[in-house]
Amino acid sequence: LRALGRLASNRRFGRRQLLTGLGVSTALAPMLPLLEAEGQEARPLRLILWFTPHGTVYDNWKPSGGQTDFTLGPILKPLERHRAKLNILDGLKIQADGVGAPHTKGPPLLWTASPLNDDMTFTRADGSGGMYYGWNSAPSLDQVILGQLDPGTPYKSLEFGVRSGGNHPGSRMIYTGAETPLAPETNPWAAFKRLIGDIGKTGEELEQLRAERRSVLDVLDGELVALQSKIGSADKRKIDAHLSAVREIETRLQNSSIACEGPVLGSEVDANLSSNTPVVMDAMISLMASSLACGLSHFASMQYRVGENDGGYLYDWLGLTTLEHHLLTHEPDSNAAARQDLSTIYAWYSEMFAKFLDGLDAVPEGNGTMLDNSIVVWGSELGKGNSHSFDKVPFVVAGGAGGQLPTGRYLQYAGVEHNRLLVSIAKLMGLAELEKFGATDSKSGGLTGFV
Amino acid sequence: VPSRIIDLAVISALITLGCTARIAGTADVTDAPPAPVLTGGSGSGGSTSLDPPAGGSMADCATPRVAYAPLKRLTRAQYDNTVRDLLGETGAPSSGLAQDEKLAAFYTNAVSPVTRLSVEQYADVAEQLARRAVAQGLDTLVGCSGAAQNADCAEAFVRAFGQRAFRRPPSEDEVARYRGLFEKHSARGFETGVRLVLQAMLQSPSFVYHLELTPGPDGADVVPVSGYELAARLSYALWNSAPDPELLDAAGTGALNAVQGLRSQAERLLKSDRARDAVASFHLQWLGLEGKLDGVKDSASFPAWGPSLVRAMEQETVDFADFVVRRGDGRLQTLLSAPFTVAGPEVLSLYGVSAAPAPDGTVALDPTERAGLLTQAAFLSAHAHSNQTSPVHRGLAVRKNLLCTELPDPPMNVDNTPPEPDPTATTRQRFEQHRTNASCAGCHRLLDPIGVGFESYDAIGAYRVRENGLEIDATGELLDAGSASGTFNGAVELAQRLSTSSAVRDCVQKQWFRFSLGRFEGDEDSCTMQRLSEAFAASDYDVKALLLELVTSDAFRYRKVTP
Repeated sequence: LRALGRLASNRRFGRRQLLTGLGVSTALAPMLPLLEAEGQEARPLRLILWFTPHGTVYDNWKPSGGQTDFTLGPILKPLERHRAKLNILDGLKIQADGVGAPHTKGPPLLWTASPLNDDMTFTRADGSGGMYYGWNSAPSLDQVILGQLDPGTPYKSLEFGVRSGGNHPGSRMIYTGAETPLAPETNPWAAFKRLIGDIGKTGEELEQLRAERRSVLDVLDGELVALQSKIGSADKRKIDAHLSAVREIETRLQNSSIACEGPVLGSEVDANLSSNTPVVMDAMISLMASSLACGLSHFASMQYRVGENDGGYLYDWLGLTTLEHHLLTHEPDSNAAARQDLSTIYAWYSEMFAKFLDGLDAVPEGNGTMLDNSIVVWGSELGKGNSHSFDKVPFVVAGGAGGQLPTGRYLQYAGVEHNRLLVSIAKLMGLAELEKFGATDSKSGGLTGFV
Repeated sequence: VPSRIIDLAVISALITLGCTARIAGTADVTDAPPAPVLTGGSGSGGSTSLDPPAGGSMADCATPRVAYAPLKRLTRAQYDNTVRDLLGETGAPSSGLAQDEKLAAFYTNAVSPVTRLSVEQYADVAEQLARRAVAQGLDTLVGCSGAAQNADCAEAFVRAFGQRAFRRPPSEDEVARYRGLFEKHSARGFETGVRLVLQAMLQSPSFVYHLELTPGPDGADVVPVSGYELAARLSYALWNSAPDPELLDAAGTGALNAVQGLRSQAERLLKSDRARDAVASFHLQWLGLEGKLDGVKDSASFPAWGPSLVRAMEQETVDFADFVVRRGDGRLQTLLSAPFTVAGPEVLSLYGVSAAPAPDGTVALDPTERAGLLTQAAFLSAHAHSNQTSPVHRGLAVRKNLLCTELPDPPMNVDNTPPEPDPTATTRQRFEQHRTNASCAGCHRLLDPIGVGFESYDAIGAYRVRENGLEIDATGELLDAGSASGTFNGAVELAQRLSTSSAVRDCVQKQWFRFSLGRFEGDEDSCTMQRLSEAFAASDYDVKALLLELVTSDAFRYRKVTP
């Protein structure tokens, strides 16, 4: 995060210096709230959803002590420097209703709290087992909020993933609606070019490029509109979705001209090679924090790997070279060596999460930092691998939601459904009226004692 | 919402197996999985709702019936092959596109719609391709040069390239639209205008979707697939790429509307080396190899493992399949039992073979060690763990991919970790619990007794007679597999048995159907499936014959307008 540090040190001079090469000022309207964020009001709230697979080793994850005088266990230890800005939520469970194997339905359930469709489209991505199921049946938390509030940013939301799997229900966690998953960016270098890469071009070159892209989109728009009347009703939603994506891009090209000092990502490596994971992860974390700092979006997610068995996945950079992670999680509790190896992996998860928080916390904003104006929710698709238990799912929330959320706390719950947490977050993000979230929700209200 | 096209309730009523389970350890499983469902077997187990209409009369098949085919987008492989054929682009530009969506074993992109990100990825890749194409050979691309590079030449390019990219002649409206795009930007040069035409066509819905829009007679729900649409179906089925000009010409003259015309084009396509791409894609996906070989193997146990060996393994399977299907006898039996390969030196060295290839490129293998696809390193490595073999995964691959058996997921809280490697025991011994523990045996009886037959091959496919100093026991048993059922000794005997099994033949027929049409077979496809079975049998199970019958079937030549 060297680059972000650099970006952050510039922050003393205000965000305006960072957003250089901005074209004509009238094109900046959607960016204004952000640019004026030096003041007291209109400081944007961000929501970031963060996923790591296969739960945790609970005993090594659980802090000891009380609500404010707690001590982090070995797995969360790397988060010590962010301790004052955390809420560690112990004892939440996911109501894992519906079809699909635990590892399959876990990631889509995590942020949608709604089951997979009970249809016959897919079998498990890893080839084991054969029961069928479809895409998820409902939108995820971030997209539900975005459906109500338009932050006016160039991108409504940005999805990032590292080894986040194929286009399959077990590997998609963000949905704009039923059967409409959002695939994450998986190559930080390609994503950088797309999101920030036009920097360095002169104003004229940039205008030219945008004019060309607008013309092309215009043609596509016309073709898709013509298709809408010819395509059968069953497939019309695909053309409709394509057209609205084209229009979203058109709008962005017309309205915003963002240029921003992005991160320095280092040389590109093969993002498909599992041993490159730490390098790819670092690059993705930098890009993600920068994208938020640059105001490209206020909503983002990180999906690290998938719920399914992604086979042959060794943590060789942590010295774990024999049993792949998924199989390790299936070892019985009595295998102390396996629990130790798993704890090593999960502590690495914490390190990655801490690095991302470093990025947000390095960006001054108002009297605090961007992290203070964010809600970063870290969860997993289940609590524990060998039993596939959906109890005691490890949740950590970082950031103060713009002063709305007390932090530095360890909160213990006795098997409370995670729907409550999702409702609390929706409320913090401005959906005050929302009391229930997801098809699995049989109760109402936010998470007691959280906000 | 995709329709429920296979009636599980009907099928599962046919078979009842004791697939009850207990948690590893103590308590009872609360959600015992449903019984395994056999959809691909023959004899008593294989009869499904896909059989011909009641009474077995083929008379009902006189009127074409066909199940609904949802709108699909190009797969990444199809995208790469298509831009290679259109622009000579030899890279893999689709690596910049979103991952494909898989339906059963095969990539089809038929369910979830595109997103903002995937549309941007299409745009980015198209922009790069267009820039490279005009930079590398504008004159060749547009077919005119110097002063002739004017708006008329650009329009001719729109018509000619548009026909290739859209797999049909562009409409006059489309020509006008693209000519407009050219003119808007040609002030900055002819090249710029052409580049934008190219850039837009390569992300046009007519390029990225497999559009089939030609209406039939008023009110008809089953309509013939039009000539150009049929040409595209045919070339994507047999080449995994766009039609060439000759095929488009045949579509234009109406030659494809007659079965004979369609068949003779299909024969031409199969003879072309470009058919290799489709044969390769089919086999990599059917055998569950795609993406399965990217993982790491334990370097202490398998120092030879690495990207180079992995590529060589994939290459062996692809080359072998292509050799048998297109240049050899074409028979399924050969694919699954041939005692020869066309592998390169790296794989041959893994097999301990140093013989030089015969003039036809084949290398004879020890017929007691190797028999076709299932004893090749790619299959054996993909269905194994990083540090040990996996009788379960190998057995499951045979069951799912070759026998089309749909098994329930393991119970939620079963401990499915493979037992630790034990220097004093064989893998077979370590997995005994699956067979001795009644709670596991219900399902695992269908898997492990097949999988242990592969124990003569380690986790990267090398042949072995001993494991940890103990002699390998590769005897196994195939259960609930129709006429192929019974005990066997070793994967060679198993492979030979499967190679003539009616359950496997039925399954392979289904797999090719799903691959070629990008969808599941449905109830309305029963006549097509019946005819395919007959033709496959009549050819003594020649895959080429199956493919020719498939692409001239009702399911291929007709489409249903509404689901």
